[in-house]
Amino acid sequence: MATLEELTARLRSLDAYCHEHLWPEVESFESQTRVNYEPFKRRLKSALPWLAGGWLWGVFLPNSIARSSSLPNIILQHLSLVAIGIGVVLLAPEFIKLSQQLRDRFKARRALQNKIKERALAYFDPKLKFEPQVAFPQGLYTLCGLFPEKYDEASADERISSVLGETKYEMTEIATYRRETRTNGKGQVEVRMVPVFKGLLVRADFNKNFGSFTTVRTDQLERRLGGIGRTLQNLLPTQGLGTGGRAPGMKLVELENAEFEERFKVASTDPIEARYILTPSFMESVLSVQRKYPGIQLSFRAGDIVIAVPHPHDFMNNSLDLRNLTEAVRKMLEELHTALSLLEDLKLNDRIWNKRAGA
Amino acid sequence: MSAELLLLLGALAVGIVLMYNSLIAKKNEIENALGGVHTYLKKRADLIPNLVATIQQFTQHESKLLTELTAARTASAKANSDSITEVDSMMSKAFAHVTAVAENYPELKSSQNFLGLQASLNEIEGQLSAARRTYNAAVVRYNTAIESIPTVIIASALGYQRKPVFQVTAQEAQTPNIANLFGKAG
Repeated sequence: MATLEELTARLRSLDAYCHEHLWPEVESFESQTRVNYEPFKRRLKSALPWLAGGWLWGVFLPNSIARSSSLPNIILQHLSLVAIGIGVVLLAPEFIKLSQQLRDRFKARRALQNKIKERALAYFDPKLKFEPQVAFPQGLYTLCGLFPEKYDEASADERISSVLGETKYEMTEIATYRRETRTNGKGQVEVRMVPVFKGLLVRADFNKNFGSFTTVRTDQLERRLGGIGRTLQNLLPTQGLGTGGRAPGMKLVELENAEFEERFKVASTDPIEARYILTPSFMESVLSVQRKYPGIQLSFRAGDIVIAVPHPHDFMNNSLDLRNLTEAVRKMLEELHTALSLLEDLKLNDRIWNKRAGA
Repeated sequence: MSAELLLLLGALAVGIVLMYNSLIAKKNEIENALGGVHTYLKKRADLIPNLVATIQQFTQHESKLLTELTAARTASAKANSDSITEVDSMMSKAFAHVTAVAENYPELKSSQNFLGLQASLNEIEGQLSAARRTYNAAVVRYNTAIESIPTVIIASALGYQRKPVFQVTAQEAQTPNIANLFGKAG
């Protein structure tokens, strides 16, 4: 079980690892998948006169020659097509071979990027499990109660799972969109996909036992309207999370930390357990994490914490730049390290209660 | 009587009913929160027999601490809404002393039984603290309501009084003095 300090130390010695283990992979890839452009170039030289001639004939010659020639116009016009056709036939086999080579290289490059990613992640944390393609975690998305129930499109990119210190975690990069239809000034109906959430959905084993359901969501209403906003929240219907309401059976919980109250709204099925989870020091930790990741939201259910971290760009850079491999790998692992520091910032490894390592 | 006046009286009556119900709800909320505090106090008191047995196993001269724990447990069993703050404070002090005493007995401190009890105690302390905060939040809401206009009129008519919140006493806020606890100098 790696700790954050151990992961930081591994990041420090990343250059040596890349040089010793990853660069040879890239060099071998470059030598094995080098594309040979020579046959195509040679064939292009022989096909070019036909292609250029055909094109020039079609554009400039027919009118002047047509008047003086005894041949029918239709034949004169088709001569350019015949010339271009010959050029294409000459060029086609080499063009097909070249595109096949480029396609193969692209596939091999993608496979190498994934392989390097896997190896770099294994170096970073040997227990880490990396899944480049996963299904959208619909259950987690819906049950965490942090998002509107309705969405029209959803995707998941990659999932990482491991144990940090004593905290078992998994993080998935997801995106959901809703379809928005509107009529423009010309009376035409326009459909566009509006993002509902794009970022990381992190599920981790919380360090305390609890059986209730609690959500900590960003509070737009209270920030804008103050006390009136709070009153409105209490009056809002218990369905339709998207409208700022709360899930059925949940009550709004007012906490002592004024800054926390201003930034978040807390709803829970059990106000005592909500306060057991959200201790004064935990609220401070959440606030400091929120300064780092604006828009962060939390949910607590069945002994787990779910953290929604908005992340507008691709997490861990999907396509590694093989020319600047060390830098690309460093950037990727630093991004993961920052995401994991979130768990440490929330002090999930403080295990002084009955709940031990989440296995 | 004009329709307007009737309407006004009707609105006034509805207003009074709503205010009355809101006050009752706030009062009941306090009782409910106090119930939560009682539950966790009992849960904490239930740890005492095990704790006493474990301490006896590893120490010989801690009769003062054991008496303190037993007294706290007895007081907890008799606690009512008036004495709950005092009992809570008494028990918190006794448990703080246990932690301090354990520092002097490495075998006790590292025993699985004691570690398990300490984890349970930490957990219950956390839950108890949450229950106290819930109670305090309910009391603050109630106190605000009975002192605000116009609910103050109904609250006075019902004889509702301000209720105290749980507070950490100056003595509790101090770090336990191990030397005093053992009756030793320096």
